[in-house]
Amino acid sequence: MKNLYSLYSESKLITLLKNGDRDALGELYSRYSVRLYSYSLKAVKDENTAQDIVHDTFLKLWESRTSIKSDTSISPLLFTISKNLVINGIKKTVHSRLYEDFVTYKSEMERDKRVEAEDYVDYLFFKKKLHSIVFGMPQTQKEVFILSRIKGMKNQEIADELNIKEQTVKNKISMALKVIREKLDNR
Amino acid sequence: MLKNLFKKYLSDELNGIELEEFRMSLDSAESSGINSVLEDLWESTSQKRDARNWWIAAAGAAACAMIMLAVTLGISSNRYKTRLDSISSQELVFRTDKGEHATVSLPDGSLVSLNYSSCLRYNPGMYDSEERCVSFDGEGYFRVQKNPERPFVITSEGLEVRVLGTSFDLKAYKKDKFVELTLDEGRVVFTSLKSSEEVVLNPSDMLRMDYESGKCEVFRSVADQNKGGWTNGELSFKNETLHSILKTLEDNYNVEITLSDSAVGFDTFSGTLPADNLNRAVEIIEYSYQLTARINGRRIELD
Repeated sequence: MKNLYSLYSESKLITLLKNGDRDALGELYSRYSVRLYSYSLKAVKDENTAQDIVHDTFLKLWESRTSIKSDTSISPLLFTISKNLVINGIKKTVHSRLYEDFVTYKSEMERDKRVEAEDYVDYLFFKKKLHSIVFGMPQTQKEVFILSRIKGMKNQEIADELNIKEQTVKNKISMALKVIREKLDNR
Repeated sequence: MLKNLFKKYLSDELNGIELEEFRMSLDSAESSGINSVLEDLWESTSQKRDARNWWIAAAGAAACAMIMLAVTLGISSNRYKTRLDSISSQELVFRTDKGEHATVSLPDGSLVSLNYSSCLRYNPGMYDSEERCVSFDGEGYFRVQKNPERPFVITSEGLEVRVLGTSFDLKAYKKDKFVELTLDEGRVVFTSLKSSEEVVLNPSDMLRMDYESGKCEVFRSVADQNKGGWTNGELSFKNETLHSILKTLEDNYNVEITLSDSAVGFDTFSGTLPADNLNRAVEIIEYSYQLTARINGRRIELD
């Protein structure tokens, strides 16, 4: 008996949702969360951000349940609710240094004709590979790289935080990038 | 402009200059260009993780539906004939007469085998919207494709059956006293509209609803029903009277059978009879009840 909701039509679920039925929300979640996640992931290119978007979208759906019109379909509604979250996520990604590194890396590959058609690297792959490379770096280099690329701190701030010279920070970062490039090439 | 940059971003093809442009135009509130691309992305993302596989499956199901329809319409032999009765109001109607069988393939790949004197209708324009709705009268063996997002709903006189993806036999002839549903796989929700009873059935459950009162009776775990047997050329009976068996034979073979000694008709029979070989079926009846049959065209007399 546990999952009668899976047999309900969407319009019935919306009616139940409007009446504050949590199980109706759960059923909509199980029908749409995978789609919403893979859509968000394609757009924002980051697993954590995509997860947050799914969570926040359903939270907003629940919070605004009383104002949903009965004849609404869920699919366009979820799209509308998630849109601003997704656009903010895209902004966060394109403004990140890591994405900039990725674009630089790709341009270099093309310039140096290091690419084969089957060597196509996308950003998600780049990040995954990068995490494992960074994990194996010497301590200071790792710290500098994470503060700079993942936390987005400025070189001067990192220098102050770690009590080293700003030039050292720059050197560590460029060394790290060089290591990453080499390792990516040899994958 | 923004639209093109956004598409390049999605496929990770931006170069350094384009990235700078993309950043600037994203911040300058002219985000309308991005909307249509996002919408396309949303529409093209299916519930399953790999959209490409989904398309292949959908195309395959559609092709299968076309072939099945062609087969159903093309073969003109009496037993496997069905008529595409009306296309008015965009509703498709599949009807079998006495002695006819047919298999209908629905747009999502679900299959419905129709027994004699049955009728299945659906509206192709509505079928793929939020629910897969068909209306039905007669006996059918349903093999419903799984789709949690779109329940499959059968409406018939006084009842509604909701399923996600299952195989079951539904016998709902308006002229009968009872409706019977026997579930082989999956799960269905049966609603009696008259008594508002809602019953959840599990595999090998059998439900019987009285047409007049709308009351439902459930037989849990009825093993070996073989209700869908007629789909592979068998008629199965369990403790049924000869009268009711002869009635089934009449409908299945489109013949008239008379029994001279009607008292014998209340003896019961359990077993299977062929659904596609009248002579053999009559022979078995003759042998089991010590009767002699005289066949005269479409009329059969049992002495």
